Amino acid sequence: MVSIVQVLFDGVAFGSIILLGAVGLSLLYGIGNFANFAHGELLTVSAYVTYLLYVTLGLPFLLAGAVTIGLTALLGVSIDRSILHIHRDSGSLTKLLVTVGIAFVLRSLIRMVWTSEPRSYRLGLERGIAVLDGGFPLGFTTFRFDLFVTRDSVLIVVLGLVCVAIVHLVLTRTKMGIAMRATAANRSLSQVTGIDTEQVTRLTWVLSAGLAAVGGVALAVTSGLLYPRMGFDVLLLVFAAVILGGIGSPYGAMIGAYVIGVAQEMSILLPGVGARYRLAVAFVILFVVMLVKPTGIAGGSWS
Amino acid sequence: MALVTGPAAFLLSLLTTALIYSILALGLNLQWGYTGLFNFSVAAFWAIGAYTASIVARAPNAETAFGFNLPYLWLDVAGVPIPLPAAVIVAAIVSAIVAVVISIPTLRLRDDYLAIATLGLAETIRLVILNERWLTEADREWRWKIPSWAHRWRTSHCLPLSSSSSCSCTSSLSGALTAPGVAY
Repeated sequence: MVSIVQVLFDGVAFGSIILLGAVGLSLLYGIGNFANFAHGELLTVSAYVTYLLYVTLGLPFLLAGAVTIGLTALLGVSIDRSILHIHRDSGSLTKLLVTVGIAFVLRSLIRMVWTSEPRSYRLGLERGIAVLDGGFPLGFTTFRFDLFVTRDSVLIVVLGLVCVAIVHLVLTRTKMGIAMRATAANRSLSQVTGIDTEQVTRLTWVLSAGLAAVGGVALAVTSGLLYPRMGFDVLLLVFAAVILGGIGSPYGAMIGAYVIGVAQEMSILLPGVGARYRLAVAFVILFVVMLVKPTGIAGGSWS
Repeated sequence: MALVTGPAAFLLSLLTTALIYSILALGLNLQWGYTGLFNFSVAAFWAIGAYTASIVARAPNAETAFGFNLPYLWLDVAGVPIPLPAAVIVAAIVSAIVAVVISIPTLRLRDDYLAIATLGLAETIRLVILNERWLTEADREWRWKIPSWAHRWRTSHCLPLSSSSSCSCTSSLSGALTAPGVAY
């Protein structure tokens, strides 16, 4: 019997990565009113930029990560200024297709520069630390509650919480954050009251792409692998988290991300499903939420 | 069919691909153009069709039909050979049945929700094709038996649209998908 505690922890650790993508995506969805299909590629690009800085150029890992966050934020803003800027008044589906195009361009660029060959940061394998160890008999089986954690997974969970706290503080304590919430609630009304919605959109991209950068590097560190589809592969999970939490609600997205992460890890326990259909489990959740409660658990509210 | 070589072969291959894509575009036009329902999983239904055709039309030993040296494959139903178009029709029917089943819940969704749901659907279908090897045998010898001269014209191309495409499985998928020998 697999330890439930272990599965829960792994779910939360993976959920933290989804969270980093989901909060940014949810912010963009709320403020720009479009589903950003290029969000997965932001994760991929950031992972590869860190690869360039850390492995190819030999910078320290933390410095490489910090520079990556800046560069990805810059990429996000330039995507907005160059392409999505034109589509401010287009329908949501048009914007969605534009971002699909951007995603293809970014992924192809990654293929051109780094090829499809999987890469790795070569950080070395970590030995897990046994936090809990034990079990008690339960019927025919033994109920295990072992827990092995790695330093990286704990760091990522903490990093996820820190990012959540930063987003929360930005949204509630800063003038810009309040302007962001106003823009998400009603764009034209915010413009009338004198909010510079263009600047708000720009800042949202900075925040969103910055979070995606952290998520991308975290994903590459935990999976130990970089490949051009890595971001797109988690995009569906990120969307599932966003929709579960309620579109445009970063707080809902946070809860949604943990739920999706845990559900994914739990799916391994289901007989006949197994790890191969982990993604399909997220899809089922996504689908059920869309049909039963399309507004998500937070119901589209910001608090 | 006469043998074509050189630039003409390239053009033929290009035209074939273009025409395959135009069929897909016509299908999406019906959906998106006339009903306004955006479907992200066109390529997934394409894959269902291709795999269904290749499953039902397991080529019998003979590569050519009735000694006419035609590059047709035959559907072997209890020893009775039935030509390729039958496999294509079966593929269309299976794809349509899957579409009907899927449409019942999905059609309650609107614009971008529908797009995201169909993306998830496409991913799920891709997962099924990749994982259920007993059914699809994506990378084994179970492909269409293409006459050897046709191999020279094969180009490796990807599927359009994200879902089933441009992934690590491109080679195996395109092997199965480009094979339904329209003009090879």
